[in-house]
Amino acid sequence: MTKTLNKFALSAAALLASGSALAATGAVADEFKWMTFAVFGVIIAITMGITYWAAKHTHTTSEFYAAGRSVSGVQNGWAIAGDYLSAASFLGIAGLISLYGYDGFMYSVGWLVAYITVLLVIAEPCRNIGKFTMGDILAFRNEPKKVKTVAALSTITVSTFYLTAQMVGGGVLIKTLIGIDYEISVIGVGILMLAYVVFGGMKATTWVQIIKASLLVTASILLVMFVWMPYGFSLPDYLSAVVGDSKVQAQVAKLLGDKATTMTAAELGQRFLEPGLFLKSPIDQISLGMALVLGTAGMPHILMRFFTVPTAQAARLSVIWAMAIIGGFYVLTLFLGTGAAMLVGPAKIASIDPGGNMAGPLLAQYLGGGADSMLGNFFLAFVAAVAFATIVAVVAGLVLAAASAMAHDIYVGVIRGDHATPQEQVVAARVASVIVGIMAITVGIMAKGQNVAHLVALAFAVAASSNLPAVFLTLYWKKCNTGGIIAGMLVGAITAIALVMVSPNMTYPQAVIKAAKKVIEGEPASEAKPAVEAKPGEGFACELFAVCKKAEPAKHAELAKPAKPGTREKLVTLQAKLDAATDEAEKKTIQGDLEKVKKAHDKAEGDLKKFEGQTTSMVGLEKPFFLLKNPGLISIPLGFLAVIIGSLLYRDQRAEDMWDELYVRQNTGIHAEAASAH
Amino acid sequence: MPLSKKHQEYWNKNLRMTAVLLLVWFLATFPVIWFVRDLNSLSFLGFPLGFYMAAQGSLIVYVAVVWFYARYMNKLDKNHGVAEE
Repeated sequence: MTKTLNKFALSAAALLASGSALAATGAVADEFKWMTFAVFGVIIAITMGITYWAAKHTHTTSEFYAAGRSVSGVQNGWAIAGDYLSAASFLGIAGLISLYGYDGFMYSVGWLVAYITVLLVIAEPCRNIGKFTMGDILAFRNEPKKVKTVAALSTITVSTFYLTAQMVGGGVLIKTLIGIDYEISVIGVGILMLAYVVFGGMKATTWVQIIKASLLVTASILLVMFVWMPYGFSLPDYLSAVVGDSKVQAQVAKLLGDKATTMTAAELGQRFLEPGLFLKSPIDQISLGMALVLGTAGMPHILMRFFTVPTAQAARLSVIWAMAIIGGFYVLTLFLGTGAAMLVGPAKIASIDPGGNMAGPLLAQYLGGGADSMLGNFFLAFVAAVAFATIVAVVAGLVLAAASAMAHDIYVGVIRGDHATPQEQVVAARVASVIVGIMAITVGIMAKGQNVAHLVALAFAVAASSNLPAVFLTLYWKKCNTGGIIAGMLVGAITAIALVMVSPNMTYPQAVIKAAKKVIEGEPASEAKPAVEAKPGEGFACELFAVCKKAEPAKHAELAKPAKPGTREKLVTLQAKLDAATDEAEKKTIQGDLEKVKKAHDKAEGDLKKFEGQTTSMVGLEKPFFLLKNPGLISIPLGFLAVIIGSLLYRDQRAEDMWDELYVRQNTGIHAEAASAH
Repeated sequence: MPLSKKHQEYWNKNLRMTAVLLLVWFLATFPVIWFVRDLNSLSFLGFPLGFYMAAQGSLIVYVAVVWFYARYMNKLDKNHGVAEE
């Protein structure tokens, strides 16, 4: 095994090295790329060493899936933080704060909120009842084969959606950071992650998470020290510097548009600390919030972490640590985000990546001395390497969860009827990991260039609507039984998926074509419009489905606007300007503008070509039928309802008889390890 | 294993504490976000209060809730003789 492992390490290193040869442009300048690869190399070497050590200690099923229940509470806390702090929360939230101020925090608070439900309601009883997977929890007092099949299907669905989003996001991120080709990034991440999971199982995955979480926290603390130091570590001084910064004020003015004209500079700065610059529809926010809060509690890779600790006390301790680490980290993102807004500037951040993902890396570069300095690029390289480790670690956790559902629930539980030797089980787990890993790489490459944001929403919505009602009710409701579990999981998952298919997340060709035409042709002059009063809708359902009239907010009076030229016209005028210009500096700025316009023009043209002749989305709709981006508001209650109705119709005396036993077990965790004897 | 009176009592206490803490959790989350503009007129440590709660305050409350729950449950385990060694 050692040999194969070395080969894996070598090929992964070779991949990364060949990446440098193919490198296009990224945030890291070409001449400093070696430094990024050196930092990558060190991190990969350390994690490979751990995997080698873990592989020697991974022989039984319990060792493979649950690290032999030998992880301490503190270690598990760090590992949960590692699982949780994905690249999205590391780079994304700092980016959102740098671009939108207060609304960026909603993402950090929103996600941390979820952890309370995990601990108080789900985590501890699950630890006490389950063995390795969510299927085990549900099988405790229901018919094992049936519920394990449904649970495994749901786990694989959730993991695949989330995994695809992570792979695509990771590929794009690595490309933006260091310019390695997208396909090579995806394959590199996939192979590394497979090496950790296949050879080291949960033990290696846990340690990779711990290392990554500590790197992330260290990097952030260092950056924050540098940002905050000039203000003598005083909060009010720092904050007034942010509010008073002209780049921040310019950003707010840009976001507010016409409304900003009457505001003073100080008011604009203050507005950065208030909501409403990014999030607009409150119902959609509540729906998203529900899916996030309840979905986290149903995420299989998070649930699985609680099987790795030896006692209930350790499970509780691990959540305190996880909360403290994640909470502390988000407090740091306040400084990272606002620091990036003040020092680098929102305009520059958005010019490299419109989503703001480069705020953290660019801040690191600035603090080290800027784009031309050695130290600045070392900082950038370090942050890039941490981001890379982050992606690999999160993906590893997800693959392990999906593989355990496949191998432990379906193969061992259903196909072999729980009769398989430990060796066979470990082999099955490894084979399943390879299958899931290869699938993740393939799907990741196929989904190149797709918008994957809705996949994350989908993963959480399915977890919240399918997994959570089933797990929650089997733990807390005496009458819950097999019929309810199956009905609830299927109804929850199917509604969530179906609603997303008809939601604004999908691509609607007519809207894309219209927007592209607007870019190319420009807008005609418009006449002055009087103010319009808010119109009430025809009921709450109209806010959710496109069947009747939605409420309309009041509109301010608009002044007459001159026609806006499209890119086609702009290209011509700019070219003429360029030809006429004589001054070198002037020529350069015009050249820059010209390139920007050309880029926008090409993109619009590309969209037009891509969707030419299409009028409907994938499922044949011209316009979204479901108006929210997230289906949680509807699919979560439906999932719960289906469990209840299914249970009442199905009647199962055994499930009720087992209730007392479950009750004692979920409270005390006595015999947690010998869980499957039923 | 039969359900003893002791277990019943333990479970009830557990549920009650969970409900109380979920209430704290709710208060630290939704009203604070909903009324952020009003809260911003108050000042805390030099920050507008609403902004401070979103940036740090709510997070600190969450960690405290979790810490308190773990401490309470560990004690309850011991008192009811269900603690794992």
